[in-house]
Amino acid sequence: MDFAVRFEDVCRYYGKVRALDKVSFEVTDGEFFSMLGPSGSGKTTSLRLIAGFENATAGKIFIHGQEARDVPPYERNVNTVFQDYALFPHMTVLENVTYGLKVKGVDRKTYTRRANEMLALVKLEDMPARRPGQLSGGQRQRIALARALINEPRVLLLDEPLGALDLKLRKQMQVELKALQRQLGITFIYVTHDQDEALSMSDRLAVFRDGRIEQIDTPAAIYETPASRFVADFVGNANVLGKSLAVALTGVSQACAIRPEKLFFASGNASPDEDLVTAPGKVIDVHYHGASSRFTVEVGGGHQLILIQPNDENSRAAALTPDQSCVIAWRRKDAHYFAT
Amino acid sequence: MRSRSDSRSPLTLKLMALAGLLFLHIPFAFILLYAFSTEDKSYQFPPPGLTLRWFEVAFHRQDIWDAISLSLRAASVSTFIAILLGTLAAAAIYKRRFFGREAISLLIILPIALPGIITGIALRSAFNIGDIPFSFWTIVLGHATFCIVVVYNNALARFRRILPSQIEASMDLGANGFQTFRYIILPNIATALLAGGMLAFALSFDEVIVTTFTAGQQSTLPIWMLTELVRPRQRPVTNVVAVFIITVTFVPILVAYYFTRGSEHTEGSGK
Amino acid sequence: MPTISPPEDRTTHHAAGDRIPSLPPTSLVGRVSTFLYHHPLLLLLLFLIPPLLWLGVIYLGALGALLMQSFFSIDEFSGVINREFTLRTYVELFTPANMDIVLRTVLMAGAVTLASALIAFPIAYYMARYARGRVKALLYLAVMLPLWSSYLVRVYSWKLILAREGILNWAFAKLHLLWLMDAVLALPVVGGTSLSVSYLGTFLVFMYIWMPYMILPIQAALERVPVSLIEAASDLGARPGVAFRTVILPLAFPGVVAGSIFTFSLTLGDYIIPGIIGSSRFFIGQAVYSHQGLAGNIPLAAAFSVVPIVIMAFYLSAAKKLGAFDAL
Repeated sequence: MDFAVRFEDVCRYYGKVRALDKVSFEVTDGEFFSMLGPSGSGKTTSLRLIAGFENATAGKIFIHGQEARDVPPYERNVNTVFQDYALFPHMTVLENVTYGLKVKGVDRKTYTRRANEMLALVKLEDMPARRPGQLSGGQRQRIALARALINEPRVLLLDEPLGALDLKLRKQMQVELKALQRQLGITFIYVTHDQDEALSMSDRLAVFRDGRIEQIDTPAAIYETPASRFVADFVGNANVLGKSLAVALTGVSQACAIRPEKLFFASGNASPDEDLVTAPGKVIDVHYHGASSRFTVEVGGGHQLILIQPNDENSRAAALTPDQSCVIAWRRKDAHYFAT
Repeated sequence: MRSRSDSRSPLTLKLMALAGLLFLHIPFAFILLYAFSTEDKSYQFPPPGLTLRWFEVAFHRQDIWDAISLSLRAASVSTFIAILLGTLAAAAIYKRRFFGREAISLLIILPIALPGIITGIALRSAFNIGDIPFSFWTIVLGHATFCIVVVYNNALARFRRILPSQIEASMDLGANGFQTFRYIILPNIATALLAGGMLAFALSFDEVIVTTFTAGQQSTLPIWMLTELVRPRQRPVTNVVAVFIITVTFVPILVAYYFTRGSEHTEGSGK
Repeated sequence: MPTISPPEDRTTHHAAGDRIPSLPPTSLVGRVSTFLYHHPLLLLLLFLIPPLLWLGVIYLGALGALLMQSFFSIDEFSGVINREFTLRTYVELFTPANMDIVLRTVLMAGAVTLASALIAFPIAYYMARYARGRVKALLYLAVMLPLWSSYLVRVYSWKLILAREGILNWAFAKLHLLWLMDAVLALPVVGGTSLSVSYLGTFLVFMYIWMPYMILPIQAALERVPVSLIEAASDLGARPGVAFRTVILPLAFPGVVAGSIFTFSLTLGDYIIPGIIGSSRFFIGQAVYSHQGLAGNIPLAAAFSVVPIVIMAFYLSAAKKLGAFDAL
């Protein structure tokens, strides 16, 4: 199996600071791989190591089977879309896009033709003579993409490329990037701190924390079966029940997490169901979010749980207001237990 | 700091500022005026008459042309050396911290920080000890040394404005170090180098304090002027030359200002 | 070059060996570039050595030569410089006549610095606080241009103005203020037969010439004071005068000190201005110039020039403590 990128016990230290601490993972050829985590967790550092802007302090990095230790960035068949796009302000759009081919000695006719193909691919055909300063944020982002893709890299690195765009544009670009990756079939390695983005776009994702990887898996697996409390908290919302609370409510003496949308309001009169766990509580807070509402409910012992319910005027939830008592319930199998 | 609440400044302040600025510039007007005076033995005001003939007289004086030629040649060579060395120094200093960095910055600034007479007498001492005769190159040696810092400052400021991501992007796309310098760095610093060069040229062309120590018997234009000031021959001719010097130095300054003013931000990068 | 094509075709283009991530450098330039990339220290040295060599050898070497010369002495009869270590020259430096010269220069430097600070401040204040856009650019240029344009021309222009038959006297005469002029000229020490041969004249010219050096750092320092500070002061009850004294002035002070470094140091070493406009009594610069000239007494000239270096060393360390270096 040809791995696009492989990290083997990679460490990156800056003096005492451990940006990456014995990190190992593999990225399959042709997959959309995301690296997710809070600031300073090591995801951008990993990206820069793959691109070649920095060297690992220890460990090995393989790009398509070849060790990348002493290879400078301009000799790697890897291209980057930078967070600030890094378009060259003193060149036109066309000159920016053709730069990679020009410096490798490709002739003018060929690189111009390829550039026009790229611009068509990112739907900016009528922009070649403009300067980056005249473009909008979304347009600059696409030019940065075209500039990288023209070199036919086997791995494309994207460093939080959508961070500066407004919400609507960001959602639109997420869809387009995913479609582009499928169409081109090349490996995308995508860094983001937005878990929503990572979940929706990736084939697999790695959750970083303090220079280590907490979990690598498909989005569904990470969401449904988080490996640790951190992952449960960072990816999506989670109600985390500590050991004592878990014992009190479910009878099982182990910490677990339950997603807010798996909790629901039950009537207090229903006959006890073996598959269901119920608990009486009081509504503390209700927040309206358009399609759904978010309830904060206090159960025994002062613990608060979050429920997310779709807004349906006929549902039991619709009638609830703060300070009312209620009964919450969930299916036993929806509680996910982890070792930590 | 801007005064937001009172956009109209107090009148006294305006007058004081205006008076100060006039103080700075009116003397130039007088130079211009006296270049046309018919009186050549004194600085009589108001001048008895106005004439253009001193321009013609100046045009025919060979000693003036020789001085101009020497000044231009010295300034050109010194500027070239200063651009080379100043840019190299700025490129070395601007990013990485290394042992001795601050000391080196100080060394570059020193020639212009210490009074000119120190630099002048120091060079003179060195020539004396080394038995080096005065020549064109002794002049250039002095000029280039204090012109380095002028180019260095401009280049340094511009280097600091280049975003690291630009250089990384260039390398990421396949350009090696030399190509990155040629296509990305050089276009970005070119106008700063030009501005520094213009300022260095003006500085060298005008310099007199250090030059009197390093020129020996030669006369650059400022040295010519100094001699005339001490022992005037035809006063209005000195004025004509002064007008010439003002024009020659004003122009590069204006151009340098124009070049460094515009690039406050780098377009096309970021949000 | 193959175009970007749908996934099914890619397998044929990307057979093993095609487009490997590590392409061997083919050109000499590429190899040199990679070598330098792996040895950044070497690259740094390559950059640093030419300017350091030049400055080290020429400038530091010259300063060393200067210092060396001050420890030599001149044989008064033959005029030959005796290249043996001695302190005789320094002893000669500390005679009352020579110390007079030093004192005169230092006092003048102090007076010029004080006066230019007072005059430059309103100008800088206006430029920083009230000028905007085009006006601001124009003002900046108006201050910059004299700074960079001919020093000699500017000195010379004052000779014209201050001459007995020049405009200043003419203006005073027209305004029937000649009595004032005579009274000023009659002042002891600073007066003289005409402005162009008096200390007062020298003082005026020094101030004029160094003015831009004082204006620009003050303006820069004032610009760094955020408007919100002044607004906060008035919000807390301070009247404009009080706000100025307690908020703006202390924050602008480092800029004043920075400017003073230039005016003081430049006055200390100047020999041209006192020679053209002023009495025939020497300043340090003139002493240096005359001693190294026909007399050939380079050791004494060197000893004299060590004085401003030492004075400036003290001045600079004091200025650094006052925060002037951050204002430059």
